[in-house]
Amino acid sequence: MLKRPDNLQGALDLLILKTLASRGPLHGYGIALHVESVSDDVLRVEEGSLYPALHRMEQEGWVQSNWRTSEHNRRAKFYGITAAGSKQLADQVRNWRLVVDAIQRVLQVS
Amino acid sequence: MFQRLLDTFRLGRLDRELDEEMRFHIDMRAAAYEREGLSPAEARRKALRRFGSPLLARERVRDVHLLTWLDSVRQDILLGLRLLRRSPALTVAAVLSLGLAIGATTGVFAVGDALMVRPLPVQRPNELLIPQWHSTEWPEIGIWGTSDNDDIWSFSYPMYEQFARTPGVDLAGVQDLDDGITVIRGEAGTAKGSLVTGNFFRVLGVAPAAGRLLVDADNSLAAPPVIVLSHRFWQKAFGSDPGAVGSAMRVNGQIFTIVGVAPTAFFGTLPGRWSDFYLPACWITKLRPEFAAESPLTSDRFWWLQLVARPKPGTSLQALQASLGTQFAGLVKPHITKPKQNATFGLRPGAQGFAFQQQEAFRPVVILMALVALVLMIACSNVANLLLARGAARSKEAAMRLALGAGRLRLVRQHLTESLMLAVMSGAAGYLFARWFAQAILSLAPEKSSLVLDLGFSWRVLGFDLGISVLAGLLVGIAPAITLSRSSVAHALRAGATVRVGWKHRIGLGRPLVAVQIALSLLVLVIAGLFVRSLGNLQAVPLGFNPDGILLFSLDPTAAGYSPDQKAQATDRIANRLAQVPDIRAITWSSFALVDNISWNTRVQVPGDPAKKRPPCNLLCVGPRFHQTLQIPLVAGRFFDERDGPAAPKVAIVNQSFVAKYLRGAVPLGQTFTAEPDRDAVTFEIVGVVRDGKYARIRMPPSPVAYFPDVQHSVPMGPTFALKIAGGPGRVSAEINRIVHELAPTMPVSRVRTYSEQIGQQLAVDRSLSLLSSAFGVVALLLAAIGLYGIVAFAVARRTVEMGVRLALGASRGAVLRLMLLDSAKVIVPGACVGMAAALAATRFVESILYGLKPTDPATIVAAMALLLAVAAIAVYIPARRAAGIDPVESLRCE
Repeated sequence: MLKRPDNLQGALDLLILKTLASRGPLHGYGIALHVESVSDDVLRVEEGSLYPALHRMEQEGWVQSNWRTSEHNRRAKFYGITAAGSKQLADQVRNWRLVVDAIQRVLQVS
Repeated sequence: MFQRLLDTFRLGRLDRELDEEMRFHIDMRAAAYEREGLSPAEARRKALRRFGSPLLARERVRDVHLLTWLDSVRQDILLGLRLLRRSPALTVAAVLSLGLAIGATTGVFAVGDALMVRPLPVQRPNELLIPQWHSTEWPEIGIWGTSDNDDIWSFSYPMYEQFARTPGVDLAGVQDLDDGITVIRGEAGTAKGSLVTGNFFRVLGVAPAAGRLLVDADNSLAAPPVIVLSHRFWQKAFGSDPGAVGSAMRVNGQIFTIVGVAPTAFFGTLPGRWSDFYLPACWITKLRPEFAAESPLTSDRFWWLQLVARPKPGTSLQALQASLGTQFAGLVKPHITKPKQNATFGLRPGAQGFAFQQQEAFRPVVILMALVALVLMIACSNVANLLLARGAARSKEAAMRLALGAGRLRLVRQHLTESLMLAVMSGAAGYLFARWFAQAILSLAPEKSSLVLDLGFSWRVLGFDLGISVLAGLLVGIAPAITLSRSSVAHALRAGATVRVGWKHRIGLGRPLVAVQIALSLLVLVIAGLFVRSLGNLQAVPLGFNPDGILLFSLDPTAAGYSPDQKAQATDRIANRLAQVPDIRAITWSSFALVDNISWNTRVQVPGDPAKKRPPCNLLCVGPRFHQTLQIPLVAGRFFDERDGPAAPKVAIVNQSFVAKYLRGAVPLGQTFTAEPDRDAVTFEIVGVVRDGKYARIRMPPSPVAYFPDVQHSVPMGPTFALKIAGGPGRVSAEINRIVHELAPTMPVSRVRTYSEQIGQQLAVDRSLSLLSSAFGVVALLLAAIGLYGIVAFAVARRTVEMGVRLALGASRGAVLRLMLLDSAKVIVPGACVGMAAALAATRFVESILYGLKPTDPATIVAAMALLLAVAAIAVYIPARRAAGIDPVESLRCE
């Protein structure tokens, strides 16, 4: 198997999948913009990491891509979420909640 | 989807696309900054900084693709291994049947490779060249050596000496000496050797395994006589004794000192023939006394030496050819007598030595190759069917994986990986088996023309084995892979529809596979039938004499150093002693046996016949009561008897073809003719006519033959004794050895054999081909029958309900049976038609080795077809009868 995605990577995957699930097919720049605007610029996608992550997720079968003409009349590669990707997103969201809940509880106890 | 796989390999394209993707991103970001009021240059710089390193990103994307690919291959292999382990019976069956077929194919390839392709085991074999010449008509010279389409490779010794002085080339000479008579430590035997020029080993670049090899100084009658042994002969005759070097051995009566042993793999210059020893060429005059009159070393009329040339570095081939060609033209000129005659010189590549002279032996190898390839294809389709059957059971798994998002191509690749693994395992098994099979083929070859080949490791053979394994893997895997990738997700996910999805497709592909099997097996059957019938024709052909109860053995007193008088005396003495052996009823001899591939012919002139061109006449010099012993029937006149003594007028008995060809059927008794059995013309009077029979070869039609009594002539050949014996040959052959050893200790007895064995030797290739092709035919038929049985049995199982309904609605059992039979005819008929067409197209390649029938022999084709249909009918009938026997109530209940 591939290297286990570390937490940061896991978070990036989660953000990308969620973005694609809510906004439909987007190009890489669009994904970056969306994450920034929704999180009020708190979360800045590390742009250099975005593309390796997208390609890896495509290999995993979570997203699929095709070349289309963008809003500025330029060719761009659009990524869309697949069925497997949706399932992965659900899993990751559940995981994320578990982790967040756990951290929440730890914080409350102390 | 296919794109993705391509991407994996075409990283260049991947890079370009990624660059475009990242450029778009940066451009967009820069445009956004510009809109915020930055200058274009500033905006771009900021966008780039924000993006980070595109190079690093590109590296990481590449890693993603490579890792995924490697990882999936590893997964495929692991999964494949697990699946193969899970069904060991199928794996073993597949590996065994594919392995045997691949092994047989590789084995035949190894023989062909060693015979025709493998370079000589010498230094830089690719540099070697073989001088040859071509003449529109043969010049007035004696030639010792083979020729092919009037290409000749023999030259006279003086010619060789002149050629060898040409600058820029090293030239060695060689001639093979078969049936050399050796005496080693008091034991007489026969061996094959080569006469070579002193520089032979130096020009080829061969280093000794022990002692030294020949040098230029050895090739002189004034030098001490020395001999070099082949490694193989050193092992066989001396048990690899290092003390052999320095000891003496006799060849054809001459004593030679063994000075060294050639390296293990060195067999000489003719692949398929392994020289046992190498002698300096100058000894030809002593070894073959018949050449003593006009020394082959000085005669320009006797061309006997074959040459091997190695150009020195920097020599232009054109210049060398031109230089040798000019010399040749000058040397051949005195021998050209006819005005239109034209002799040309050439050089041909010699990396394989004189392998091109083995075309005759190569042809059966090619035919065998084609046959085993057919069997391999049948084995492939059989294993493909096995995998399809299992694929059916796995179609649900496949559909599940598809539904979970696995790529179809990935699924196909996984299956191909699995079948390739199967094939590589088979290939490994086959490689081990190939060596054994190659040896088996060689042992089937006739003794006299036996092939002795170096079957040591060869990259070509290993590569071939691997190549056909991969090919077989693809052939085997492609059908199940296609079937699986066609599996429909919707069907699989529908409740209850489980295995049926796959089975539907299985039928779709399994049927063509069985049709292919039927076509291939019909082809193999037709070829086998042709060989069997051809062998039958050869065995039934009238010989013109009766070989039953005749035991033959050969002596060669001339080669053992006997003078003509000594030879005649020894022959008589041995015959007289043999006459006292109780089991021997009659004794005769001749210069050689009939139907032993030996021919001896001469021009014949009949007085009063206008000197037109006549076919040459075959000769045979015979001992007393030859025709009576072999029961060759007399047509007119008389047999030889006491009247025909040494001093009496020279007489001859001729056959019917002789009368027809030379005398136009006229009554010949008392007629004379002139022939040249040795050097001088002799006039013979015809005293008898015998019936036509076979002379040298069974395949040749009867030709003119003249027999004459050996007491009136001295010929250097033979004798070969023919003994009419009672009972088995075992005791008599022991007596023969004892008597000859006692009377002539330096003369070995060679080839004690019954006449039927000798004739059998001549048919050995035909017998092996018909035996092997019949075996292949049976295997092919059996596999096709199993395939056919399988699909019909399956169709019956699948259509049980339908049959039940039909029966319930009043269809007769006969009608149901007919339905099933008709259904299977849809597989059998196209298969048989394709097979028939293939047979008609392919069998003409074996035409040249068939005897007495055409490749389109209707009887053979009808018989093969009938056999195929009969076996197919049985394979279909058994399961189809089950369909007719269905209980309608039962069948409806089970749904």
